Parts: sequence; structure tokens; C-alpha cells
Amino acid sequence: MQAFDYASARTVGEAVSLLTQHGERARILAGGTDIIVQVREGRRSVDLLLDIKEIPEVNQLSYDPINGLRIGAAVPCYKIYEHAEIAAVYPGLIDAVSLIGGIQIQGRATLGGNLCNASPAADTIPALIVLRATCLIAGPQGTREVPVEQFCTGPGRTILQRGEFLLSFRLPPPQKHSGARYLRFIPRNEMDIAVVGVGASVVLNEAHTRFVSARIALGAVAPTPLLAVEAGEILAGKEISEENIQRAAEAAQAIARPISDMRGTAEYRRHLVGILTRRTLQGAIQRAKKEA
Amino acid sequence: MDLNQSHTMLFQAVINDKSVQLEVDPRRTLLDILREDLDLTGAKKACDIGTCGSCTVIMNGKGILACITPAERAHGKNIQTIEGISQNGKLHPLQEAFIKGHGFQCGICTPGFIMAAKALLDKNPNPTDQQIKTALKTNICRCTGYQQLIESVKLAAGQLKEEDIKARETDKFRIVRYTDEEDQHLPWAQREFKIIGKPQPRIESESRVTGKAKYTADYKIPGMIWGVTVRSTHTHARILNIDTSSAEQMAGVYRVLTWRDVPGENAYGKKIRDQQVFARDKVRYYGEPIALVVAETKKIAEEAARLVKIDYEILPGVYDPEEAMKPDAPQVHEKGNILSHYHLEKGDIAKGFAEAEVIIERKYTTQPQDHSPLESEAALAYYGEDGKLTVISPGQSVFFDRLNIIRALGVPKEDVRCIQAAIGAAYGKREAVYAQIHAALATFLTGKPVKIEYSREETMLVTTKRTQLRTYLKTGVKKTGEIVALEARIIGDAGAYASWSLNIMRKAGVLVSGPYEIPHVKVDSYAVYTNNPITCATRGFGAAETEFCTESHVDEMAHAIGMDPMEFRLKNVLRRGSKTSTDFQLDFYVPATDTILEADKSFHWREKRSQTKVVSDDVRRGVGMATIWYGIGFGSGIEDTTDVIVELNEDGTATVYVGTVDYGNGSNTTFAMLTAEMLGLSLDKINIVNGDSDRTKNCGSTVATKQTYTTGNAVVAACIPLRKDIFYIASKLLNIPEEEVDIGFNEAYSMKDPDKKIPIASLAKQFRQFGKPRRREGLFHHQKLTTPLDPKTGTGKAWFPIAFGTQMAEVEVNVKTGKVKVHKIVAAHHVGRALNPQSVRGQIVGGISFGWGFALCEDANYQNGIPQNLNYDKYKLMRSTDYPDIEVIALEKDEKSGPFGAIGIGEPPTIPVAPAIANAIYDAIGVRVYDLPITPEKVRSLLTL
Ligand SMILES: Cc1cc2nc3c(=O)[nH]c(=O)nc-3n(C[C@H](O)[C@H](O)[C@H](O)COP(=O)(O)OP(=O)(O)OC[C@H]3O[C@@H](n4cnc5c(N)ncnc54)[C@H](O)[C@@H]3O)c2cc1C
Ligand code: FES
Ligand code: FES
Repeated sequence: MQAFDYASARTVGEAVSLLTQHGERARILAGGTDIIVQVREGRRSVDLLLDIKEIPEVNQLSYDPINGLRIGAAVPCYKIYEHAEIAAVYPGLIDAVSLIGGIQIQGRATLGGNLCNASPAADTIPALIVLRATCLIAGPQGTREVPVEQFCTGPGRTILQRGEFLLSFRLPPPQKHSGARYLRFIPRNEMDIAVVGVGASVVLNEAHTRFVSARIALGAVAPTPLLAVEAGEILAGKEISEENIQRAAEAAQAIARPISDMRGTAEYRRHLVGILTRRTLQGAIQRAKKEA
Repeated sequence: MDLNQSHTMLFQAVINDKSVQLEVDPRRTLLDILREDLDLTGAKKACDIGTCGSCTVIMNGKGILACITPAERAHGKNIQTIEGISQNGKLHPLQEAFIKGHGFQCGICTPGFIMAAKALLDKNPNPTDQQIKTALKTNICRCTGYQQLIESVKLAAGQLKEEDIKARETDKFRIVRYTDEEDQHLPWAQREFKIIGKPQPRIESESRVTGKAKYTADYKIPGMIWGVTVRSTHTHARILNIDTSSAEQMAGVYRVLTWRDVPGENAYGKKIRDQQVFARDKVRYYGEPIALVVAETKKIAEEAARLVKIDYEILPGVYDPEEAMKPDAPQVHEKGNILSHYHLEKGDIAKGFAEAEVIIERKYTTQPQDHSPLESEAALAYYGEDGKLTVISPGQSVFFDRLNIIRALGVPKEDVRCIQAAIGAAYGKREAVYAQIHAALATFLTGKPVKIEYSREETMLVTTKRTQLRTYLKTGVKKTGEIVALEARIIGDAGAYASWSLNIMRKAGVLVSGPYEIPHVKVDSYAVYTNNPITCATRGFGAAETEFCTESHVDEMAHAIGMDPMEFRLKNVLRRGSKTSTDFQLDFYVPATDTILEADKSFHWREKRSQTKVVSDDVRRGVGMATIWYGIGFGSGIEDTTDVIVELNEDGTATVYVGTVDYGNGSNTTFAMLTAEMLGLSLDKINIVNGDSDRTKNCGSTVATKQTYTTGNAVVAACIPLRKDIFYIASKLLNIPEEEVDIGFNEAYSMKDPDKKIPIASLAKQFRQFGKPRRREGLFHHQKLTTPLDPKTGTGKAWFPIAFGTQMAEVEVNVKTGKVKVHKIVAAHHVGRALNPQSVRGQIVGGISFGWGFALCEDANYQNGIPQNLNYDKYKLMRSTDYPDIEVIALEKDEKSGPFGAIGIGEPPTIPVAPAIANAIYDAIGVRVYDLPITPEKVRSLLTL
């Protein structure tokens, strides 16, 4: 492995000042399930790995029906799905969180790491987007908050500026009659990287006959996870029908910009976007109906 | 704020209840600290990127992967490793359960699995099957196919009892025994067995479940230095210059070795010795060794290796075996690209096709599968106390390794000793030599112990693969169902050097006709050089690749004439009196039909076939089957003598000296069982000395499913005179006639009066007095059972014995995504006799998982000769969450030439999996995939057409 330094920050201020000092050559160490492997394989070169585990803000995990959910960037996946209340209120998030790796990975991998690693195929990002999650970012100028869909700018690239890092996520409390679902396609039963991932959330009318609104987000079909704005908007105010779901799926396919690689051709991926969008929408609707 | 620039930290942790303090570099991983600094080598490094689970340890109560845990993160924690879970010399219940449940084969994955299972059971003592599978899905086992492994966890959880697993008939495994009049005359016909046929734990069990077993990478010798290989960065190029000067000047570098430093022949290989110890004028594949940097540490050697400068003249490469056959193709070797051509002709092919009423012609392709034993390549060489150059490695034959080493060093064989370490499996990959010669040479030239360890990526880049084939198959069939003609043209990609390709492609040429009686056959089978990685024997070699074609084709023929595929097979399979494609008349029991009938009994073929195909809007189900044959051993009269020594010791134990290597297949336990049975001893009285070129004689390689049969026979042959003498001496000492004597459980006794008895140990002490030797040699000449194939027609007695088997598969296909899920596989294989039933079952289930990967996802994925899938993030192996419901039927019918009737079972189960799945897919959705692997995208693309 290449030479780099280790540091551990205990406060947000310490972290910001170290990050400011080292710029691009410094990376945060959260669970390490991506960064350690990347450094080992020489895919990323760093001068400083900054451990943030000791900073209280990145370890918070709290939910209440008024403020919604706050997840610190360094909270490992298992803590999220083992939290009974959170699991009950945000099943769409749990779909994604429980997919990452196996038990040994979930003990360490974090939501923050999954987002900041900015892989186009990262499973939690489409789920976070459809749940209207926002990122709280700390930096030299204080903190700022941006929606998750604006966070990634390319494979492995984010909007984080020199000195900035991700503190936590905030998810609004779910609205009445709403539901969300995340699904991915992989060739084996488990333990693969998504060939395509799709998240969907819906809010239904009281009678459960119409969409009030919908959000659809896509993974592994563009340089970054995508919020398929139109695909969601098409459904607003519409009746719940196979036909409308199909139209949303087609709109999602239209915005997908997949590439061909060893995991699948662009054509196949586009085809899967259609299939998965329909399935996730149906799943989200089912959950919304139960949440009446 | 701690900014650590000194690159050391005081690492403190409680490890296995002991507090540990060390100065370490915080960037190192917990795994490296455990293995290198603390000598806790139970946690293995199979992938080093978090994808295989072999490094699982428990940290503060949670299972974690030590390979991706930086030291800094393990600081201050409570860590438990496999070495720490047995208490006061008593094994942990999981360790016991893995022994009783046959939860391992090679054992390299076992510490990781046990720790992952422990993390689960500590939290949830009574998990569901699904919870167990989920908890273990990070961990890869290449050998077992997971079934017995998961049963072991259930055994530990008290959900299964040992008897549930070990019965001769359960819902997962049954043994059916066929006998006929002939069998009554076998020498063992009347004998009641005391050891064989009864489930026995592996004799090496304890070392595998405790992490004590030392694999090559686990050895450390004082003064050890390191070798790192400099490899070609082109697939085909002339070497203009090799400049090692900068590397040599680096502090800590001892030598940089190139072809100039090879004192003997700079060549090695199997039959054709065309590989270069170090490339001299030309490189022919990506990663071919050019130099070896020998340095004080691995890190220095790696850095120096980057300084070796090589000037190349790049040559055009050829990566497709069919392209390589063209006259204007780039020439990989001077003698041309066609390495071998096997031609077979039986009957009159033109006449055959004239008689046919339906003719089908197809092209099939199969991919380069990586054997993927979880242990990466490694070798350690040193001068032993006896002054001999000693090499420890995971090779499949210590004698083959030694032969190649002494030729390269130019020394007599007495100067070199090869020893097998514990081996993390092989499956044919280690029929080739990798780091052994380099390590030996480095020690030879520096006098120091030298270790070479390849990373997972290096291993998967440069080691051999399964031969990829292009098969053109044409058959003619009558409407009444008789196959009358078969013509095949098979082109096999040998890769850059010959290795095993001649044998593989000859085997392919014979086996492509399937287990059927076909009067008119014509086959041309070629091995062709390309600039791809070298290929080697791979579980079911020559057969898995070709019988995928044959069995898909047979299915298509059956459908074309409107016949049930099972009926069609029953009509055409080889039976007593049939002639094989090589015109070998089978005047003995041929189990093909019975394997079909037995599989059917469990699967209910017709019933399942007539069920509705529609499961839901998106999902269709289907069933498929395949029947296969496979030759055991080298066959074709190829020299293969096995030489074994068995010694009855004066303390009533016996020592068996076998030259074989046990890489997890269980052969050592089999040999111990045979000896125990023959000499009336209990299993714990048998010592096996194996895999040591100094202490044993040559037993050939552990390959071609041959060791149970060949070495098993030699062991029995060595035991026969000892047994005779035991009976003789017992009759004298007990004063009873010999016919009255029986032996068992370490005693000789009178069958009439059980009070008349004497320990075998006392008998053994009397051997000298009676003038009987306690040490006997057993020989077995396998070549005598077959004949060389006629050079013109390719016919002859190609193999004996021949293994037969049938598998039936049930699959679900998602028509929207093309994804295939295999639900159930019923596998009926003739085994002669199941000497160790749970081990036989393990071989069959493991073989099926190997075939599952070949069918559905495993592909080294060559791009212009360079394999792209170099670790388990990209190279997909079956995981616990994938394995189908498997039911195994071991069909026993004594093979009279085998040890107590046994033949081998290592490879045959891999062969029918892909065609059974492909045929089931066809049954489900009416389309056929002709090229492996059957990825979801391929299936889906056929559906849109
Ligand atoms: C076997 C295996 C299976 C996997 N399976 C999946 C899967 O199914 N789906 C999936 O999406 N991923 C998968 N992953 C990838 C990985 O586990 C996830 O992306 C994980 O969520 C990363 O989290 P981490 O805490 O380990 O990140 P780290 O490796 O610690 O960090 C990842 C990146 O984000 C940066 N970073 C982390 N936290 C912050 C922060 N707060 N502020 C700024 N930058 C930060 C780091 O510098 C680094 O560049 C798998 C990995 C392995 C090894
Ligand atoms: S070696 Fe750690 S997961 Fe493979
Ligand atoms: S026993 Fe699991 S890999 Fe060999």
C-alpha cells in the first residue's frame, strides 16, 4: 500500500481544518469498506485518511414523527435496520441498507460512505433521493444543506469543496398514505453490484385511487444516480393504473443514459429500468396502502 | 487531534482473552497483524478486498472482515479468532459440528465460516435456514456447495442430529445398492465391513476446524526472504532487452533472476515442455514470468520489481482459437498454432447421415472458467536440516513439481524434496507449476529460504483456466428415436503453452459422443495455441465443455422427433454389450440406465414435466436433464503406475505411505479407511504419510478422478499380504484354524468363541518371529486396463473404468429479466461403492456447485488475451444464498476391479449441471442458449427475438 497518514478527529472543527489543509489529498475514513479496498488496489491515492468516528455529530441516529429521521454520516448500516421504529417507518430505506454486502460488511459500511463514494450503482442513493433526504455538510464556512440528488457530480465525484465533509442526513417524516420501495437487479441472488437499481416513493389520495405525487430515482444508468423528475411528475394527480405506471416506466427509461460494460449492455439496462420502475412503483403503492 | 505521521502506533487489543501490545503501522490491516505479527494464521487472506469472508474474526461481538479493517480501527477492541474459540483443549460446538457434519473439504474457508456462524449463533441461537444463509453470504466456499456446511451450523444449533445427517437414506441423500450374481464371487462379497461404507470424519478434521492447518502462505521460516515475479505486460512480444540493474542496486535486494540464471533447462511443462522458466526471447501471454526479484521483504521486492526495465517489440496477438487455425494467423510458436489433432472415425459417417431422418447441426461455445481454489498460489523453498533443497507448495503432485524443478536446476532428483502443505483446493489448476521452480531457484542461488506469495489478482491473472471450446456438432436421428450418426469438430483454446491441452482435447474428442451407442461417428478435435492464458485440467475436463453440447443436442433431437427426452436417452444410452464411440465393447454392467431411473424416482420426471410452466406473469418454470459419462484416470494405455507402502507398526498402528496429494477431496481419509478395514484396525490407528517426494513413492497426480481407484487399489494390494499374515499368526497364537479368525477394532478373534482374542498390536510384535515382513509394497498398473488409441481411427479402449451419472434440474426463468434460478437438482451418480458416504455426497454437491457456476456466471472474461475478472467482486462464484435444493443418489454397484468395488466421483458431478439447466430453460421458455455462461442478458435477448 502507498504511504499516507492517519488522523482521527474528535470535533467537526478539527476535521474541517485538517481537510482544508490537505485538500483533495485527504479522504474521510468511515466504515472503510470502499476506501480501504480502493487504496489497496491503487485506484485512489491519498496522503491522509481522516477517521471521523469520534465526532459525535456523525454518530447520531434519531427519529421522531415531527422532525423525521436524522442519520449521522458514520452510522453503520446494521444500526439502521436493527432500529425497530426506523425500520417500520422507512421500509424503502431499509430495502437498500440491508442489501449492502453481507453481515460483516453491514457492521461497518455507512450511508455516508455509500453516498460520498459516489458510485453510480450505490444502492442507498436512489432510496435516499426518493425519500427526499438532504445532506448536512460541514465546512470552513459553517454548514449547508443540499438534497441528495444534487450531491454526486460524476463517478467518484461530489459537490464537496475543500475542507467540507458530510455530517448527516435528514429525512422528512413520511406523509400520510405514502410508501417507498427500492429494488435492484443483479445476476445472482445476492452479493452483487446493481446492474440497475430503482427507487420509487408515492403519496396517494385518501381513497388510494390516485397518486398525489411520486418520485423515481435510478441507479447504475448514468454517471450519477438520477432523480427521474418527469417520470414522477407524470403520475401526479393520475389514477393508479397499469397504464399510468407503464408511462412512468417509459419516462424513466427515456432519461436513463446507461453505458455498456461487463455487467450489462446499455440496451439491457434500459430494458431493466422499465421492468424495475414498474415493480418498485407497485411495491411503493402497496406499502402506501398499508400505511393508511 | 491525532495526526499520525510517524507511521507507528501502539496497538493494544485483547485477542483471544490475552492483552496484546505491539508497535504497528496503523495503515496495516488487522489481518496482516494477526497473520504476520501474532502468527495467528487461522484467518485466511483469500481475496484481501472484503469479498470472501475467509478473514472473518469477531470484534466486540460482531463478525468483521479483518482484511479491510485498519489496525487503527481494531485498536482497543476485544478480538476473537478461530484459535481462541476452543476452551481448555475442548473444541467449540461449531468446530465439533463442522467435523461431524462434513462442513469442509479443503478447509481454507472453514475458520471464516465458523467465526461468521459463531457471530450468528451467539446472537441468535436458533436461526432459520434463511437467516443462516444470509449470515454466511459474505463467505465463499468453493468446495462444498454449502449444503453440508449449513447442515453443520444447524447441527451446532441443535436443529439437526448427527444421525439425521448420517443415515443411508435422508431426503437429501440416499445410497442405493445394486447387486447381481457376479457380485457374489467378489473376494469381499461375504465380508461385513467395519469401517468402510460407514460415515467417517476426515482424519485431518481437527487441524482444519481449529485453524491449525498450515497452508503454504502460513509458513514462516527464520531468515526467510521474498520473491516477486516480474511479468510481461504484453500478450505477444519479442523481448529486446531486460535491464535489471536499477532493481539490483536497491537496498535489500539480493538477486534479480532471469533466464540467464537458470542453470538447467529453461523449460518445463507436462508432456510438451514448451513453457519457459523465465521468458527469454519472446512472451506469449500476458503476465508470463520474465524475472524474479529476490529481496529482504516483500515490499522491497515489489518496489524493485517495478524498476526492472523490459524493452519489447510488440507482435500481433491471436486470441480466438478458430482464428489461430487460419494460415495467416500470428504464430504463437514456430511449429505452428495447431498443437494437436485427435481424429476419430467409427462406422461410415456418410452412411449414417443417409439413414437419418432428422439432422440437427449447431455451434456451441464454452468459456474459460477459473478453477478458483480459495488459496492463492504460493511456494516456500529452503534448505532442510538434511541439507536438501526443500519446496513446500500447494501443487497437485509433488513428483511432477520435483521433476520440473530438478530439470531447471540441473540437479539429480536426490537433491530436491517437494512437500505438500495443507492445500486450499486445486480442481486441476495445480496440475501446472507456478511459483515452485522460481522459489527453488532463488533458494538454490542465494542459499536462503525464499517465499513467493501471489495475490488473488496475480493468481487469477496468470494461472491456468478451463479450456474454452468451439464445438460444431451434427447428429442424425431416426424418427423412431435411434441416434445413427454424430459428427463433431471441436476447437480448443490451449492458450500460450501446451500444458494439459493434448489430454483435454483427446478426452473432449472421445466424450463428445456422450454415453450413447452411436454406430457412425466422426470427430476432429484440435488443441490450438493462442495468446490467451494457458489452460489446464479443470474439474470434468474435456467433458463438462463437450457434454454441455452433446446433452443440449440430445434434448433438441428428442424434441425434434417428439419424444420425451428421458425416453430418448433410455433408448440410446450405453448398456451391457454396447460399443462406445471408440469401438470399445462394454461387456460388463453399465450403470447409465440405472442412473436415469434412480434420478427419476426422486425427481418424478414425467409428473414435473407435465406441470404448468406458468408460475406468474413474469416467471416460467421448466425441467431438464442430462446423462453423462467420464473416463477415470489417464486412459488410452498411458503409463500410470501407483506405488504404495503400508507398514504395520509394532504398537498396533499402521503407516501408509502414499505419494498422492489430498487437496480437500478426502483421499487420505479413504486410504486410511481402506487400511483400517484390511488390517482390522480402528481409523485412529492409521497414519498417513503423503505428499512428500522423499518419504513416499510416486502415485501420480490427484487428477482425473483417479485416486480412490488407483491409489486405493495399491493400498489394498499392499494390505493383502499383511492381512494374510495377520490371519496366519492369529490362528497360530489363538490355536484355531485360519477360517475361524476374524479381525476388527484392533483385535483378532475367533468367530466361534469371542473370548479367544488377541490385540493386533501383540500380533504385530510377533511378525518377525514368524518371519513375516511388516512393511509391504502395493502396486497398481492402471495402464494395463486400457489401450493406446489407433493413430488412424482414434479407436480403442479409451478408459476403464467409466463413470456415469444423470442429473435432473428444475429452474425458474424470469421472462422479463432473463434471470434463471435453479430450484432443485437431483443427481444420481454411479460410485461403485460409497466408501465414505458423507464424503461422496460432499464431492457430488461440491461438483454441482462448480457446474452451476460454469453454467450461469463464471467467466474469466478475456479481453484481447487479458482476463478481466481477477477477484471475487467481478468473478462470480456461488454463494450460500444461491445454492439450490440438491438431492444426491449414490448408486452402488461394485466395480470388481476397484477397491471394495469403488470408483472415483470427484469430477463427474460437475459435467451434467450446465446441460441440465440449459435444457430446463428450454422447457420453461422454449429457447436455447448455445454459449456458456447463461447470463440473464443472453436469455433475455433470445426472448425479444
Ligand atoms: C463485499 C462488499 C459488498 C458490497 N456490496 C455493496 C452493495 O451491495 N451495494 C452498495 O451500494 N455498495 C456495496 N459495497 C460498497 C460499500 O460497502 C458501500 O459503498 C458502503 O456504504 C461504503 O461505506 P463506508 O462507510 O465503508 O465507506 P468508506 O469506505 O469509509 O468511504 C467511502 C468513500 O466516501 C468518503 N466518505 C465517507 N464518509 C464521508 C463523509 N462523512 N464525508 C465525506 N466523505 C466521506 C470516503 O473518503 C471514501 O472516499 C460493498 C462493498 C464490499 C466490500
Ligand atoms: S480475505 Fe478478507 S474478505 Fe476475503
Ligand atoms: S472447503 Fe470451503 S473452500 Fe475448500
